[in-house]
Amino acid sequence: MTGQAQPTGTFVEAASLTVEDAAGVAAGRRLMNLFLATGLALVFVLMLVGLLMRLSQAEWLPLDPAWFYSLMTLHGAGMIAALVLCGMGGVWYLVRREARMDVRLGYAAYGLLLGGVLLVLAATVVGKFAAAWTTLYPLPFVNPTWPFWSTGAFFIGLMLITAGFSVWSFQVLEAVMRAFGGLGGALGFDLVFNAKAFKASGRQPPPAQILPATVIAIDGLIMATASMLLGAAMLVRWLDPSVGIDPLWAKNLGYFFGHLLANYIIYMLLAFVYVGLPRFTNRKWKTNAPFVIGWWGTMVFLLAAYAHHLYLDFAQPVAMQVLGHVASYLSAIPVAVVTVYGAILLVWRSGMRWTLGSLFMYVGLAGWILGGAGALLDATVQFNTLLHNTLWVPGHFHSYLLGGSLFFALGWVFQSLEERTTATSSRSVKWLVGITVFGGTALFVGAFYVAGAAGVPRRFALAQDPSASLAGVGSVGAVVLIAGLAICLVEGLRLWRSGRTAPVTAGAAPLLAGMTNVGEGQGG
Amino acid sequence: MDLQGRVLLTLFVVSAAVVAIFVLIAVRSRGPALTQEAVQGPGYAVRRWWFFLLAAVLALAFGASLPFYPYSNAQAEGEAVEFTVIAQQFSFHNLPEEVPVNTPVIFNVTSSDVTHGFAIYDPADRLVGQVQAMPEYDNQLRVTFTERGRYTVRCLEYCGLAHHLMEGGFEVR
Amino acid sequence: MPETIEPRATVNALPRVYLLLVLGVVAVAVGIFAIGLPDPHLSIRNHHIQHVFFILGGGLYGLALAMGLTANKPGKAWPGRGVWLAPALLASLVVMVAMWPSTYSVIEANPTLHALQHGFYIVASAVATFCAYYFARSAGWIVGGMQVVMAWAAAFGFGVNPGPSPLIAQVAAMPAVASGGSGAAAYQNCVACHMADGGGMPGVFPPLAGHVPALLAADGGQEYMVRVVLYGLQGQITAAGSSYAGAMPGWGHLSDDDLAAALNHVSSTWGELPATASAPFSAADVQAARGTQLTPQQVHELREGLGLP
Repeated sequence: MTGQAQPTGTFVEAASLTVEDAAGVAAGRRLMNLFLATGLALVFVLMLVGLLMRLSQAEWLPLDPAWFYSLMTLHGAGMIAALVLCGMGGVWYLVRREARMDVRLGYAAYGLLLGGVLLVLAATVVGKFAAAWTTLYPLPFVNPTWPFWSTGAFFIGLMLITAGFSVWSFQVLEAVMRAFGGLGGALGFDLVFNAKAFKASGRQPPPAQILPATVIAIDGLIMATASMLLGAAMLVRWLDPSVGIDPLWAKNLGYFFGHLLANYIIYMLLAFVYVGLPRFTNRKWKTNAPFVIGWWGTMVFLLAAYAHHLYLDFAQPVAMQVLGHVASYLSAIPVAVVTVYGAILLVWRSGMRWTLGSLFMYVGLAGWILGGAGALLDATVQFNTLLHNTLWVPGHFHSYLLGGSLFFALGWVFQSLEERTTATSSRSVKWLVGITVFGGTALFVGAFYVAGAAGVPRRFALAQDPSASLAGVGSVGAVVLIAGLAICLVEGLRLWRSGRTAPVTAGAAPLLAGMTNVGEGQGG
Repeated sequence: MDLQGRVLLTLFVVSAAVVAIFVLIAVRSRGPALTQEAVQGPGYAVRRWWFFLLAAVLALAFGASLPFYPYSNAQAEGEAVEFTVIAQQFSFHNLPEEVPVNTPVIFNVTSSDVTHGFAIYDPADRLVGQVQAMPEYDNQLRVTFTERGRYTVRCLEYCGLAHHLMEGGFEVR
Repeated sequence: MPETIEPRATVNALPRVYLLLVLGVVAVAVGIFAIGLPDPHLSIRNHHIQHVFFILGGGLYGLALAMGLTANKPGKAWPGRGVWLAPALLASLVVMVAMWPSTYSVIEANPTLHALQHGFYIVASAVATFCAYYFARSAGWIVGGMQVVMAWAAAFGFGVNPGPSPLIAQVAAMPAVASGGSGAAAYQNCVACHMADGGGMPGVFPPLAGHVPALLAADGGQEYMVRVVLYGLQGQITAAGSSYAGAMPGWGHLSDDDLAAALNHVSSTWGELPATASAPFSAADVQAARGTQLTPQQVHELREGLGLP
């Protein structure tokens, strides 16, 4: 009763596991590592591609438009696929800790995604397919400056990526329904509609990370419905030019798919924070009624918000525009009130130790809020008329994907490394990483926002000032960021090697060793 | 400052506030630690306020922005001048040479091939309005120019390898 | 934690199976009779909606079969049957691809083919839900639902589109642009990039004035020009001393007469025709060049191969 925190955590897997299943969970962790390693490697390579784009726009390394636009297409599709890989792997493992899942199906999903990425690579790098990753109909088919095969390869690549995501969604959904009592159990219905009886029964609500898994699996299948249809239509059109496609219909389906897949990234990688941050702060992330209601909201708002991509298609019904606006605003509430605020409650006066792992997770949450602010402004119809298709748009989604999702993934990777070694990162390395990675990101993203407010269009291979100077600033930011990530790689390898040579034994908790004022009484 | 400038400033102010709050919380995480129970009570109380504040801000923002929706179907009030522009790879076809100042103008925009954007920049190169130019659909951009001079039209929806070269213009007199 | 889903062994599943079968028959019947018979030549949209009922019916058949085969079998373990997902997803995709709208008019004329096509939809969607059910019970229903939604949504854009905006015809009919064989009028199509004075835009769009005579004087230059306007050009070129790295779209959608007129216009308006190119372009030249389709890159290769200025 002294109000002091107590060390209770270890890095051993969740206590719900039986000894027999430990091997299965370990196999799941290996699968996650494969997803993460592939995804992060792809992210790094595609960052270099992105840097080339910014350097071209800065006129420091002007690229031939055929190269610029095909690399731009690769960067978009590839980054989405790479981060989706990271998210899928993480959620797969975190669900595997709660329910048996066939690891072979997990590898099948991986294989499908990898196949999709390879086709996308071939189409863009070899075929110079350059219709942007949004492939807005009828651009891939009109006056193509790329060979016929590359159009098909790109679409089939996207479809393989969706197929892999669907396999994952089916598997995850089946597992959480089995382990937590059907859809209602996995979504925590009883917490809200049957609260007293539920509490009296002594049953536990699903752990926090099950909510993102369930919601994204459900929404993922809804997304797959749209993308399977659009993919089929595009394939048929590719093979048979006499088939008519309604461009507005294709646009709706295409943006439904793209908006959702990009959003799923951050909501999947959030599961890492739900599991990891409590370990850093020695507090629990509680699954309570507001928490699950927030996730139900997310499940619905995510779907409806896609319409914000079509504000400037005045041919859309006005009801859709209003729906997009309202849903975009509403989707901010669960994020800001439940997730990020919940994280703040975990960190507040927690005595948390600031390692690279906790730093990345924490700053990732801030990055998400900042990206969200840019997004809310852009989702306001009136402002959108002036920001649509300017560099403001990449400004906001790079804030989310880079300053949010990627940082969550890196946070998890570092946490895993840190918990397995007694070695720690030095203060100077932490400061160096902080300045280069966070400073570089801020500069990189800031350049986009300022250019967007100045009306500089996006997806321009070359443009006059002020865009060229701002692109220069962005390039510098990107270089600094990449350098910082290289330092992270070195530091990560160092932690990994020391973890292998001097591993921490089960029960020890070096992460908590630095916590201040750890008293003796029973607090928690 | 133009509207985009104010939007950027808003983002900057919000960002500064968010960063400040996060730094404060991080700093306060050092020093004497509290148990989760000790933090929860006041924490949830603050959360309720935070929820109502955010919801109120968003509701107000939504309400305030509704009157500015560009989708009004109000017919041209007789005085509006209409132009038809066809976007194509990689030019704007049938752009007027001259547009009257201080007069409601309607641009009827479509495309003959792929989706383009129709974005108007004023003589100071500030974006003043835009609409999509989609094949098989017509979009109407309503705008009144208050400044005389040379306006530029750019394509803002990626449309092919010469997308960044697709430009036109007209004089407002 | 639960390892298996216990089948509802104590409840007799047969009534439910029969119910699904009956509903499936009703769905297919609706598809055939309510939409099919009255109008022998359906629009593509109505065709799609008719197919929704076949896909619904087929999906229900698949679920009924799967339910019937797995009912009352205690201790059946479900998790891990991932291999069933592949045919489930593939079959759904194949159903969508098989809604190949441009074939409808052909198939309508052939009753056997028509019946086969509808039978295919029913069978394929049954396979999809059957296989999905074998992965997990709920997956069968999910896939059934996905198929129906996709088929319904297809009616709004797959093979169904508004057609070119009337604004385009209006603009084409305007005096300034209507061609009627006039070269100057046909050239209006080119003015936005190459400018009214044929000067182009330095570094962006190459000039025609002062440049076309050099092309005409060169070997193969005339044939090249026809192909440029038909198929476009993409790749870096040097023209009149400047480098250009843009892309020109093809204009093959214009008539042979208009293209020939425009070519003659740019050949004669700003410079003397050299003696070697006395014959201006004819519609027949354009017609002949349509025989071999080229990509914009191939036109570029042609230009490089000929070493044109």
